[in-house]
Amino acid sequence: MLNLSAVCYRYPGADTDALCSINLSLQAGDIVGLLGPNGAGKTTLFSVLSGLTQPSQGQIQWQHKALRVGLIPQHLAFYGQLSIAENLAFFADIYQLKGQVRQQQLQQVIAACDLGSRLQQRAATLSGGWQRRLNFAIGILRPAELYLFDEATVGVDAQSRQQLLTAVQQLAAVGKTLIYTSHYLQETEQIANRILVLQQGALVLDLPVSQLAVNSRQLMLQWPQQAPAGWTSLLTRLGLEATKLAAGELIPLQNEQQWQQLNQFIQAQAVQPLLLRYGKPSLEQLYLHASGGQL
Amino acid sequence: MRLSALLTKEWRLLRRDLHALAVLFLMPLTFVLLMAFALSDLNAGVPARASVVLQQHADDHDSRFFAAALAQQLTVLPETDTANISVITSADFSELLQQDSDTPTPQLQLLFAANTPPVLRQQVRSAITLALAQSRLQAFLRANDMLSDEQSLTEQLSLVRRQTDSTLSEQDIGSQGQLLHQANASQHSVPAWLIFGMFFVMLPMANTLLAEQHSGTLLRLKAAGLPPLTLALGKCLPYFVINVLQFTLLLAVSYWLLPQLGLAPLQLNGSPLAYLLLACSIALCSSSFGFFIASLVRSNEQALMLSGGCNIILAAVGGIMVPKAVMPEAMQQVAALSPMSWALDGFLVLLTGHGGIADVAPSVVKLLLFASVSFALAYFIFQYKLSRIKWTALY
Repeated sequence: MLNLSAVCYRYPGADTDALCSINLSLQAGDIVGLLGPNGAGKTTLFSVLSGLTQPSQGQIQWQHKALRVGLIPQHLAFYGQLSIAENLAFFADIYQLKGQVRQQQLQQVIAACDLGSRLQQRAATLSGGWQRRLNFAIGILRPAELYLFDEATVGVDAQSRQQLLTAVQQLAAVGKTLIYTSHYLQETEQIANRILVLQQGALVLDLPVSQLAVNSRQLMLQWPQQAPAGWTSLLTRLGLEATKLAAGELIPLQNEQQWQQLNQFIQAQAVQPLLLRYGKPSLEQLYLHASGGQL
Repeated sequence: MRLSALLTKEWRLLRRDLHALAVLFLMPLTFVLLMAFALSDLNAGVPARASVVLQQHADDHDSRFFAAALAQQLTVLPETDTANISVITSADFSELLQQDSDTPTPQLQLLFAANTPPVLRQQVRSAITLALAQSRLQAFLRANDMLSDEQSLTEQLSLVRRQTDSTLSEQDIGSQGQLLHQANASQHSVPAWLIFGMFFVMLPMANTLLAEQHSGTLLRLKAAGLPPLTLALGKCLPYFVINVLQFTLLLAVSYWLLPQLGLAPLQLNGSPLAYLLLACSIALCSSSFGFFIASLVRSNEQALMLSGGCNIILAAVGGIMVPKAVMPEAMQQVAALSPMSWALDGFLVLLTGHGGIADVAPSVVKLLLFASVSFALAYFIFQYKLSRIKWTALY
């Protein structure tokens, strides 16, 4: 188990913390979807977790002696003039893999990332999608307890992406902890069992994905200009609170009766909303809600 | 295993980088060959024969003798030709030749094109001084009936030259005080440009390190827990080997190829162990300094400017481009600060002085000290850079 207690980090010369008071407990087998707008602190959190940066305050505790971290960075971190096989062999040596373990690990990542057909091709001559797969393979080649995926599937075609996501799930299935950032929220929703949202360096949401399915329903709507007369007082009467988002307002509902009353009011209006969505909240809605509408 | 992997990786990357190979092997080889050709006469002590136009305003015996004496040393062109150097004698050349005064009138006039190099001017002055002395002797001998007018000009000149020509025995003193034949031109030109070529490793070293920083592979290596010293050695050792290979290759090419091209062959005099020691010292020095430059720069443009600039300045100051012997004393003291100068001193002791390990030891010690300081500084900067590597920000 990995525990972060009141972890803060401030870049030298900065006025504010890039990370502030992060308290987090990660379990083996967790696939954590880490979301947040640009500048929210995701990269800094990855830097701290990977050991590249020491926190300014707080502690990171790991149950074992040393925490090994597998990195799958957003940029393509391999040697373009080496072939896929040479890159993998080089990093296997760097990760100090030997003998049978080395062979097994190499075979596994080659199969998981479907790299077998182009092992001898130089990395620089591969297409973007293949390069992304090699980048992914080098990251998961390292036997580690924690894997950090930063936009790991950008530019990968749908079929290959599914294959990589399966590889991610297989890692979790054998007890590895994974943190996954992606701008593809659907992808995150598909594989993550827990969602974290960072906002201005603080953790503003920590929610098991399972709660998304059972959570109460939400109404999202956008009036063309101003909300019609009586709308605000109706919400107050029903005890509801609307959150302003860039694309309208989000209203969590507690029961079906509330929806029926709101729907009656909406139908009676001469000017209909531009956007009207009612149902279980999607990760996108949840994320927009938690991040105050920022992407 | 990790260091071995880093070395293998670096070697593979280098082998596949044609530009780096050209910089490391083709350019130094071209330099060595070109400069061996260009400096073959200068370093052999045989300057190219100067050409002059001789304009004479008298046609007497002394003037004709002077022209014949001058033609023994310089190429005398017809008056109709144009040349950068003109020698003009007046109508009273014969009287001026024999004048005996405390304030003598110039016996002739010398005109040089403004861009005539000092070495060439000196060559012409020496030739004219000798020709004038021979002409005066000829006049004296004729006045005292020791030369006959019945003798041809060629016979007279031959007799005078017997009196004025000197026969010198010229030998070099070796490092152990032994007398040696004068070293040939290649012994002087090859080592200078070989050393210059060895310092070219700065550029590929900087470029490969920058590529690792920018691609994020350095981030992976750091996160994998590689100690900074392993990373630093993984960068320096391959270039140390490259340097030793350059040294061997360029010496071999100079040894075998120069005679085939009609140039003086490189004679590998001195102790083989001393060559090995010197090669390793220069290689350590240039690869450590290359690592220092690589640690300093933050872009390929900076790498190109700084490595190229340092290489040229060290070469210019260190007596690679201009021999230290022709520098003013103050400049010679500055030259003594350049590692290229130490390397060249050591090399020349071997090639021209037939030296041994003890003779190259002073150069080796200085080179190793420079290598240690460069590596220490580079390692300090490199560690700082590594400490600043973040997840996506590289500096």
